[in-house]
Amino acid sequence: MATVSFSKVVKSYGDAEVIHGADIEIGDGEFVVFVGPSGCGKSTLLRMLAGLESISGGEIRIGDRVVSHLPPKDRDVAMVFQNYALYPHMSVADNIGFPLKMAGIAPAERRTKVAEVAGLLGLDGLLDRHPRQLSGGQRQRVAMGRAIIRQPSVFLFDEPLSNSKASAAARSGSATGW
Amino acid sequence: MSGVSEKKGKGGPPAGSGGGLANFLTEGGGFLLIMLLPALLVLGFVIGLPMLKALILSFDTINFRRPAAAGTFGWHNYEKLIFDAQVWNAVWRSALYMGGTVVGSIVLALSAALLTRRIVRFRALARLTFLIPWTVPAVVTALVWGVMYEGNFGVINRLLEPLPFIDRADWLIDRNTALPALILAQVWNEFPVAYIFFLAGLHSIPDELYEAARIDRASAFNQFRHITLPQLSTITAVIVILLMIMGFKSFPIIFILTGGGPAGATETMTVLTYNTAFRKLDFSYAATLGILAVLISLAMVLAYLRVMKRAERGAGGAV
Amino acid sequence: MAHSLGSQILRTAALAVLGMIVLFPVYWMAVIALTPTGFSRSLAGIFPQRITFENFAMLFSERPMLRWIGNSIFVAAASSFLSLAFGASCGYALSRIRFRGSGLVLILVLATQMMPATSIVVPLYILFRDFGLLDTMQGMVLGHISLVAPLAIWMSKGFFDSIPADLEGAARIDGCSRLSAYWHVTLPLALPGLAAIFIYGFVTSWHDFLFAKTLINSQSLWTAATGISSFRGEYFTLHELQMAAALVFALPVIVVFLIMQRRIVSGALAGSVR
Repeated sequence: MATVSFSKVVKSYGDAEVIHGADIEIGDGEFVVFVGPSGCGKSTLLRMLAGLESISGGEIRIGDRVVSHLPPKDRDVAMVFQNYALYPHMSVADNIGFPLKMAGIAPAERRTKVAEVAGLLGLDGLLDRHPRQLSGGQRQRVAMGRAIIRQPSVFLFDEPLSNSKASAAARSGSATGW
Repeated sequence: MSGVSEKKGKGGPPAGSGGGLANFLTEGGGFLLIMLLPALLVLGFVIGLPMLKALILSFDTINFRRPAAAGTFGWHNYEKLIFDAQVWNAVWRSALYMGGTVVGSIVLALSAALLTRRIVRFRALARLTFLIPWTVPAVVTALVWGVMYEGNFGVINRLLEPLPFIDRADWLIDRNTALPALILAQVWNEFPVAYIFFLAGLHSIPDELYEAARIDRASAFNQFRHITLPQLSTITAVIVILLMIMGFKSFPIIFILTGGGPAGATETMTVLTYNTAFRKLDFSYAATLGILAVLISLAMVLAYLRVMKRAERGAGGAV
Repeated sequence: MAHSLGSQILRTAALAVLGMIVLFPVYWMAVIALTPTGFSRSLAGIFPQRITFENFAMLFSERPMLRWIGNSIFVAAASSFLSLAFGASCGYALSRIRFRGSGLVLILVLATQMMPATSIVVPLYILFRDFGLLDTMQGMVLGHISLVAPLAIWMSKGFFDSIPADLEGAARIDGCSRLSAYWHVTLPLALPGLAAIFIYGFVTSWHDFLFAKTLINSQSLWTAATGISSFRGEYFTLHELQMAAALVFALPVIVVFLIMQRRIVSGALAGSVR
């Protein structure tokens, strides 16, 4: 259970201020979409929430924890990147199971959880493949699997519609609101 | 274009935010330190310390022939350097050597690149041919050219024999031919670097330019003069500086073939530095010469960086 | 470009002639190396008359060639491995982390690579004399690290630049610290590049003449480069032996190059032009 709140968050690179005091409150279980022209700071906002970008001022809270200066691994968020950022040297199973491996979960338990998530996303037959052997849509599902397997309190999705298949799916109404 | 932020309703276990020190070492400034420090320590020991030592030596009087003079500190090495004709002759000879290798390598590399550019069959073979000399160690280059230049039985003299107007020469022993002979060996060894650059440069010239020129009825020569050459100007600047740096650094070819002789006719900065230290055993003066060489190469590195910056900026808008 | 048959033939002929001239020194080295000892001076044309391998046999039986090659391999492997171990992480930091002075570090690294090695070797000799490192293999390895480490830093930065930073971002969100993201994700991906740097460093050390000449005195510790260069002068008339040694020394690098040429060429271009 987690709420997200930005208060007076500022981001600047040198003298150039790109986020000028963002105040955002997102309730628990809420589904929020940021829309805007390219370069307006949507990705920066997500990356600051994830901890990949430092913030220059203000405060970010997840639940009742102030996470402004925590490293990404301690924020309990998951993110699907625009280009999916799958690990090219790992199989699909290892990609999805990587967060669990980092959390120190035993291989046996990892395998069952990975199988569970893969079943959910229709990736069953693909677990031994490597990302380069997958189609764009399959890659996106692997990236989602990697994000949901750990059941994070915040789930970030950068440019989910930039992939053509995904956008076609969204248009036809079959998108599943992950 | 939208970013979607969504959160699952299940609160995962908040991961503990770890100890301060552990986090500092794996995440923050400490991480930077862990990554940089080993390399900087090693470089400090094998490069920084010697450079510092060179500076100290250059003010000292460490000469193994005159051990008693050690510990006499002062500017004397620099004062000597300023009025030392041998040093400035060596700088001049380095300049000649650099100039010769730059011109020779560029002519050879550009001809080779232009010739191999549009061939269809045996393309890979042709390219490999012009890259092979690059893989030959400088020491081997020196030995092979030494054997070929040899006065009595050398293959170069034997091949030149039937030709009129060219006398057999002791190429490496004759004062007038020694430096050009060394330059030729260096050109053979280093021109492939320029060749690669030229190939890449030619490759990046869009075909439309030539098509347009043909429609305008430009001759082959005019196409070369008004399209190829201007399009290659930036990359040529990069190559020139790179070849100058390589020529300035060159040591094994000169040292093995002539050792700086005959009578100092091929004594470049590097060879003079070596000879001053390891033949005359005057390490302080050699260190001073080494510092002069570092300053000269630093000027070239700065020029290189400037040209590279220009090349990177120009790369996007080649047309 | 004109495409008439005449100009085509002219170009091909020019290319063939130029190619033969460029390859001639390598060819000639092989010819003399395969000629019986003492007979190269009586070669009439530019073709071998009687082929023999006795020069190579002599090289290994009567000269410590094998020992020199062994020394070279040891020094080259140790110095490139150590340079890579230290240099890769530095290249990574320079590629990924913005910090004050990173530009200066890069320029310094580049500058050390471009200054004459004679400037380093003079003070290094005095330092090693004080530290008792002269005429030792450890000293040689350290000396060669000064040649190879800047190269390893500069090249590995280039390789890390080509690995998308988002992969580490993903790893850090998935529970990695910066250090473990480097270890689990970036380093495995950079492995082919690091292997190429290792080979490049190995070749640089293998080719070195100056450090080997100045830092080592005992003949038993010579590297192949100093060993074969000693044939000139000392055994002045033995051209055949000299060329056989030169060939043995040059051939491994040429073979490696022929195997890896596509990657080397594109890598050299990527690192310097783009």
